[in-house]
Amino acid sequence: MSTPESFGRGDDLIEEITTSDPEEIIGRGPWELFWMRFREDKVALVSLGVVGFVALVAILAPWIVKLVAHPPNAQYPDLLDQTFGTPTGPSWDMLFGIDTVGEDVFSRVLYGARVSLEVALIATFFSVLIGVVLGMTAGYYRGVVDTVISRFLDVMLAFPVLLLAIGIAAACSLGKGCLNGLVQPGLPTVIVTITIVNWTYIGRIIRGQVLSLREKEFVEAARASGAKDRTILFREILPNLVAPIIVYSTLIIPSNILFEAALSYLGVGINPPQASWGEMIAEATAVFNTAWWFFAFPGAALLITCLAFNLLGDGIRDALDPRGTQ
Amino acid sequence: MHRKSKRRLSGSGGRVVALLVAVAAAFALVVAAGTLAGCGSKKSTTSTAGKGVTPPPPLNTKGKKGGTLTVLTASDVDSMDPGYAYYAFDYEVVYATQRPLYSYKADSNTVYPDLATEMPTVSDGGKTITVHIKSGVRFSPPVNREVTSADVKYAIERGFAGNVSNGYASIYFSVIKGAPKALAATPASVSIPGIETPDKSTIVFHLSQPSGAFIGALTMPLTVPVPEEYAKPFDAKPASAYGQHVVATGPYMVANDKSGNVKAGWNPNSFIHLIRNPNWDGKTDFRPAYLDKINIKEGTSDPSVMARQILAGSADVNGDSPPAPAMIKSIISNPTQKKQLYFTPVSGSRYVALNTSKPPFDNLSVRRAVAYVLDRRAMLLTRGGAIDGIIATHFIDPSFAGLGFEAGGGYSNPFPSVNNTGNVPKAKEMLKKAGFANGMFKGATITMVADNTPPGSNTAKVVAADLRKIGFNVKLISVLHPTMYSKYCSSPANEPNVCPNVGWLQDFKDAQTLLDIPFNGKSIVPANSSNWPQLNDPKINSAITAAEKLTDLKARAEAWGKIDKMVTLSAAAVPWVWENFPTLFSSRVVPALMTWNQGSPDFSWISVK
Repeated sequence: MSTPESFGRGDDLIEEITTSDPEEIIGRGPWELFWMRFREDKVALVSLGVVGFVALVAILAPWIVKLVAHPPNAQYPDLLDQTFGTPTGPSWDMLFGIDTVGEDVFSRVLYGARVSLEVALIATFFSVLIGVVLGMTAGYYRGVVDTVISRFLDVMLAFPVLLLAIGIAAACSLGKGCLNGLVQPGLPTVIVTITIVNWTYIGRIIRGQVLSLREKEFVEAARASGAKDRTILFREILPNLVAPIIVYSTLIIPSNILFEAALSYLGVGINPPQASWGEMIAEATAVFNTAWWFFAFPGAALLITCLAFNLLGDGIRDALDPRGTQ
Repeated sequence: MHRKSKRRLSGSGGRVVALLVAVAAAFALVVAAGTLAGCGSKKSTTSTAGKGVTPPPPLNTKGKKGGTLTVLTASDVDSMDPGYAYYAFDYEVVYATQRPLYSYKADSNTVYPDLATEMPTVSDGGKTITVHIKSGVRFSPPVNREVTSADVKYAIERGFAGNVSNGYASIYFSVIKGAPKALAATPASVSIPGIETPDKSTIVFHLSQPSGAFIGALTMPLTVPVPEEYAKPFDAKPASAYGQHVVATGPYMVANDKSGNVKAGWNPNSFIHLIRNPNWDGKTDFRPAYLDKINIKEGTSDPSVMARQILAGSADVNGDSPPAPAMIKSIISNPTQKKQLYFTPVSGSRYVALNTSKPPFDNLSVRRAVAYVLDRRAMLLTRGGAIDGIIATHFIDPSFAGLGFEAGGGYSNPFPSVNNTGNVPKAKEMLKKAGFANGMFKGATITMVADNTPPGSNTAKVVAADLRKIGFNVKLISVLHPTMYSKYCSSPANEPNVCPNVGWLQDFKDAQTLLDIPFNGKSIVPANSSNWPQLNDPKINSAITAAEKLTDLKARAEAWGKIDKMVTLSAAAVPWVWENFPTLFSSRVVPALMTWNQGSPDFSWISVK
């Protein structure tokens, strides 16, 4: 996958636009150009809408639930089949049906969106932060620093990721958590686990970018004019990394959502009774042939959210890098 | 005293994990009654506990000889050693391959003399029990010789050796004169003078005091004869290896080699192959033993897959775990398949154990608040609703109804609520009594350790939600079912405040087996403890000690009824279900159930159509 090397500084992109429209020569900023291309992409726009909708639903969940549903942890055993104890399906009262202990699936899907987005955004933020810092350090300083960081990255990448994650999550999900209670069971554990596992991808990409950027003329010019390393890193190189960071963050979000779901599915994620899509799907598998709604709604929510983020990420990448194949 | 606690109930029924349905024998009617009166042939009727109970199939007396039965299980037997076996699935193998002094006919709870010729003779005011054993019963190859009373004596003695790890000898058999107070290392150093064998066919038990449970305990696998000269080298090992070299006395045997090693017939967690015992003489036995071979396939952990295979006829019966509730629902709605499914009431209850050894549940009123607030109807629904069983409100289950337990105050429900859905106002009243203004609990977060698979995990969710209703902050820790026991609930030092997924079954038809082990202060041991609430109430302890000695049925019933009430009122454990266990047969076999063993398939009575 190629990413722009000199976006924001180089003028080649602007040239491309201007040559195609010789009558009117307008100086457009990079963000303006990005938006021009992005709004052409119908799929990306719809995805953006879906992501916005999911975010809105997650934020407004408590109010929506108050208006049209039931509290996410309230149990309504009266609605279960009294002979077999099996859940009952969607109705006007319970829009998405109930689960095996009589909880409202609709409310839990809504609250699950909160967990998913919370985990995904926070874990993505930390993954990117660590990845960028270490990747830039390794790529810019090279030598021993690079060797140490890169080998560490290789070791991390060689780990069976899911096993490592289950290990960390299992170790921290009991009792008082790990590191003297610094990492509490539940949400914090999941976030830490995902961060530890996921920063490596960003780290590698950033390192590669920086390796080539540091040889560019504008960096050499800055160095020749006596700029310090810090200035070069933050003023010259970092702005050129904005595009890949945005693209990979958007693409990492859905994988983090799925990761959280996987951990919760395996029982080492979010602590009950908090709702999580992964945990709901795990519980639904036991009854999926009689209670499709318990499986279908959280499953669909997970699918739609991840798909939307993925397509949005693709759209952003295409818009930022017009040379990428369409 | 070292006690294994395999008689506990299992909690899972779920997806990934192979469930240890440690549901063991719902041993049945009239052992004590029938045997003391010397009339064990009285037909008992199955208790109609719960909506789901189906009458057992008629006794299969005209089965076709021959054929192979395929049994599906999630996991393995605990042991092939009859001195260790203490688990419902173990019993399926033990009672098809071995002959204890007394056992049961299929599809009924009737006790029959098995190795014994007739019911025991009781003399000396209940302190001397004499049993005669049949001649012509021989051990399977490579031992081949005739069984004598000395083999039964050795079998019981080895139950007091630590390396055999019997779970109940020190409870039911310690009443024999001269029985060791502490476990010996190996059977070689155990000799019980109170067991006499005046001749090859007679065994006499001298008891230090009359015991109401002793005769009932003669149905347990510990009375299965073990040939000392053959078993000796195996019994000398740090953990007895007799299970790997077991010889049979019953109609079937585990396939073995010339030296007696059962490797060929038992590959742990993979398969068990039972073949005919060539030394078994049908004239000495009441079992018809129609089948030629029993193949037990282990490792089917998905209860839906298990049920589908049986319905499709590629397997014949579920061996250790129930079919999935969703499958049960679809089977019952199909008129043909419905006839292949049997529900058997299990004697024993599941309960929520409240740790009485530390705050807040060291306070009686706080415990009673919990007993009031729990929605037992919702808890039952997590296991499958009315089909799965009935709501329990105390510990002596309905199969004992009418035997006099009511006189002692058993059968009471001291914490009533409408439809058993929980009584929040009463719970708050109790909390006020405990000093919590406005009836809401205030204090540190309580911990609860539960199964991580349904139905146990769902039960825990209901319990947690109920506790939150009266102000508790509950931290729920979810682990595998065996871990829940071994690391938490059975380990007093590490026990959480609440254990919502525990349960206990009876060993034979005697109320003592329901109450003595799980609620006796003596049962609190550092590891593998069976007293999950850590209940150590001097009044209850002394009532138990006194009741153990009673042999008069009426007095006994009254005394144990009283203990039932005391334990229930202590609210240390809140019982919530008496279960029915589902067993599904394929359409190609004539079914037979061990109704006394939670309805497990009875290999000695099943035949191929």
